Amino acid sequence: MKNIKLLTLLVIAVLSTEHAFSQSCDSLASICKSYLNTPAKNDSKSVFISDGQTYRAFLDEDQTAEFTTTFYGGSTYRVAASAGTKDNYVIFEIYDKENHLLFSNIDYKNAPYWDFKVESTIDIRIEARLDSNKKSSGCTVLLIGFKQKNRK
Amino acid sequence: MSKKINQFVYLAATAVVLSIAACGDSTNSGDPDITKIDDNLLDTTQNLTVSLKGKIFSIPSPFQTAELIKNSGAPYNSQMLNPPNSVTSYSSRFHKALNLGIYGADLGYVTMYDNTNDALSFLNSVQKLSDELDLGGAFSKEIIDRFSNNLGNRDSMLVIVSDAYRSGDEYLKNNDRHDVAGLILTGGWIEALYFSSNTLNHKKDNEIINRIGEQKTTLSNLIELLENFRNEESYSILVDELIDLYHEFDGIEFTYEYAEPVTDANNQITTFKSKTKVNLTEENLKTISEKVKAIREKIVNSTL
Repeated sequence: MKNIKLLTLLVIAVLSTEHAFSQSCDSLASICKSYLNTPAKNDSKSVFISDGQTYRAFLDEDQTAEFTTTFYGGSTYRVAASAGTKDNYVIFEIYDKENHLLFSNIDYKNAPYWDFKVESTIDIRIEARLDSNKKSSGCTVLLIGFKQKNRK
Repeated sequence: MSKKINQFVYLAATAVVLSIAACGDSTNSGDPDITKIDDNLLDTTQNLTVSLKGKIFSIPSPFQTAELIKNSGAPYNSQMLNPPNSVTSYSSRFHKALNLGIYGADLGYVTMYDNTNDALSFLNSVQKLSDELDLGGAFSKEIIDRFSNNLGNRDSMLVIVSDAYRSGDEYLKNNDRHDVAGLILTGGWIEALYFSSNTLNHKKDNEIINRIGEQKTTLSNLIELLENFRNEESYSILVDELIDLYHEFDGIEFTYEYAEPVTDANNQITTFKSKTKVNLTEENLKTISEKVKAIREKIVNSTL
């Protein structure tokens, strides 16, 4: 009987933590989505369309999530990141395939989103980590959107 | 004595429950007592660490290729799309997921061309497959109604569909169904590449040719993603097909020249000025097109 109780508690622990993590990530995705929905400062009618994916990782302060992707020439992209209610928890950096740092939001007060105009197609690596001065661990969500060109 | 030990174990377990539940997220906003998560606790829950231990993959949206084709001036070509009524022929989870990706790309294509009647047909097929695969209501009645109410407004239609796909992707990842998420991305990618090669049969366009050559990194990402599920025969066959396709990309010459980016901080925009050149021979193009067509036919005909 005691073993059943113990097992039940542990199962509840695991499930509730997973559920809490999932809910936490869900709400962050909503925050990120609101960043994608914000028009560009130099184009009040701009619309960014999600690439259809949600990039998420549970990060500790010494951990970095990274992934490679391709930004097509002639396009404008928006990268948006969130790790909580305040909009400056996440540091994200973009590198080219020769490891040149192309952008870091540290230079802009950890801005939660930034736009990238791409003249020629480029393979990039995006790295995201928590700003350890502001948050030590938690779910981090990142979204990528591209700007619709010929609007109707 | 035994009863006391039982109570102790019960209390200890309760403490574990409460401590785990309490430390799902930790903020340093002025709080001197930073709560650090114990790595050992985190390791007991796979979902918490799967994204970190695994690799994150990114596949560009097939909608961008549809947009490129539309902007090239190529006429609308419904013949190259997977007929919406074929949706009833997909019985396995594997084929449903791949074809959900295919239909998503098709939906993006018809929407780009403002073909609202076809858009609704493809949306119905997408909804059917997403329900059968349980994408957490990503294409709920509310989404379908929103889409229908915005017919004729291309921006809104594309935003609604891409958000629904993103929501489905998120649900699958939350539920540790990365294999299904990977297949949907693969189907969408193959269909977009098929659009490009098919369009070139009717209209030569350098931007479209380059876009085909630029798929090498994405294909590499897809192969790496699907390799995780090779223990299932159908996945293994698909990965082998993609690796065979990847070999064709080895023959393409790429040159990259770094140039310093320019940032306009007031408008929160950075311009990447580096240059990439892709040099595809006619032979490269022909072979890639043939292989993409063959893989795509196997997917839509469920013969993979």
